[in-house]
Amino acid sequence: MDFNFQAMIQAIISSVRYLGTTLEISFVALVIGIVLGLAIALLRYYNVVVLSPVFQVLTTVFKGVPVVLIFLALYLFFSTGFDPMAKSMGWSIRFKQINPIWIAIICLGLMAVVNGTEIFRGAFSSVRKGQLDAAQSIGMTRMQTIRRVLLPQAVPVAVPVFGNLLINLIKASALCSMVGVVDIFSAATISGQQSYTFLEAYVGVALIYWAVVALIEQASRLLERGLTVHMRRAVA
Amino acid sequence: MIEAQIVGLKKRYGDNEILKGVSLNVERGEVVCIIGPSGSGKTTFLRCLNLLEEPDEGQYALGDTVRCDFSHIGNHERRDITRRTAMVFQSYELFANMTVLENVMEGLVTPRNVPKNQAKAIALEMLKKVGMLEKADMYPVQLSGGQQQRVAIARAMAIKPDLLLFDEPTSALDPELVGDVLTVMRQVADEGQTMIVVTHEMQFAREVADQVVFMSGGVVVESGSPQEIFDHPKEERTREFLSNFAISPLADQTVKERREPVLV
Repeated sequence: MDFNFQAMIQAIISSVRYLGTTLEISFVALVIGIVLGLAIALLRYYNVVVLSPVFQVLTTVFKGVPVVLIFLALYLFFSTGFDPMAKSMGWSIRFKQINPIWIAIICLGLMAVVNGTEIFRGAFSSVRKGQLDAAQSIGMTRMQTIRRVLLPQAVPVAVPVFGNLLINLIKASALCSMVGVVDIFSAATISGQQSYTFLEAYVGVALIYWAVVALIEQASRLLERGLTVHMRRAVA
Repeated sequence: MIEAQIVGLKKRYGDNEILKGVSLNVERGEVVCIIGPSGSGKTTFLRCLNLLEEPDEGQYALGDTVRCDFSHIGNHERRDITRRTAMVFQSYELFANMTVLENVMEGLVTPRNVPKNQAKAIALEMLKKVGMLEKADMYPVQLSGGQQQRVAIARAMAIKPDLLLFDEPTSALDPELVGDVLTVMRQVADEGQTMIVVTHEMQFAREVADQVVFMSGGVVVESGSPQEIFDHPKEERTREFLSNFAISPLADQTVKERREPVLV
């Protein structure tokens, strides 16, 4: 079997144009994961009544389901259930007018929230609880303690793990083609279909994924180093 | 003059009553040492006094302003109590993300909105007192346990509490570091700071305390001057507990002399 380099390059060129879509979906999902994940992790950390157990159950439910299923279920819900619901609510928007990118973002966002919650919970547990007592004992409120003591110590622990999550989101974003979004993966598939050079197209798009992931890994490492520089024991 | 008065403090965890009505009067400038076997509720009692634990019942008067009943305590009183007390913990609990100086400034800057330069001046003064001035820019992880505890004392003193609470401040330290911390505590006591110390350092209690309280099983068994408790305990339980310790007797007149600060 011959490997057609020309076709591979062609696939890279045509799919790289959709890199923006892949990155947009992944980054927006990551931001959702960080914001909501932090909020839920804090609710659970401080054992807030009602909300804490509710989110614990939700986290467990979504953690146990493959992302593919979330994509399929959500797409099915939107394609069949959205219009009747919108009609009954009196909204003017219909399913056809929804950019499928939002369905993809919601799916990956769910995955990011579930992971983000767990990441923050892990990071919080690396902070000695006695420091919270200490903060309270000198008159700090809960919000002040979160801002001044908990987050400054938890964030450096969380950053590399979030880098990892971003990598996973980028790879999972290949599932977006299932809901009709054209990302780098489906663009490469389309390009491969045109000349029956599937292997070349897949290798080409893999190279793009590798390059992006390597960049993110490097960036997260630098960020981590910058954040923890003062917490390391001085070598002296 | 009474600085703090606690009457009938009770604390339960579920059905388990940890504190069964503890009362204590603390004079302004007095050093109270609480001794007793582990599990007797000493630490819980101390934590109740700055609301790290919520007591279920009891009255609490602190300084000139706080008068409250724990069974229906309001947010305003809660804030007053946490603001007028400070605590030194067994395992120091310095903020790992801040330098020594920032640790001491934090209680002034964040909850009390003291301007940074003013807070810094106070913090440096406190660090000087505990002999940690030259470590001001270091992080807790770079210090020994004894040094961390001295910083923790400075952090607690910086907010000028009416009542300074020590929860077994030397229990987590290597034996050779205990002396430094006790010396600093003596010095704090000599400056007239009102303090309650939960401790297993009987020698320290004997030499520094104005009042020694023996707690067991969630109640105050006996309290009095160090001489009364250590030399002439009235209760059998106190005698039994003290027989576990070798405490060198001191002549009465040397007690006060020993309180001279030894710190350079």
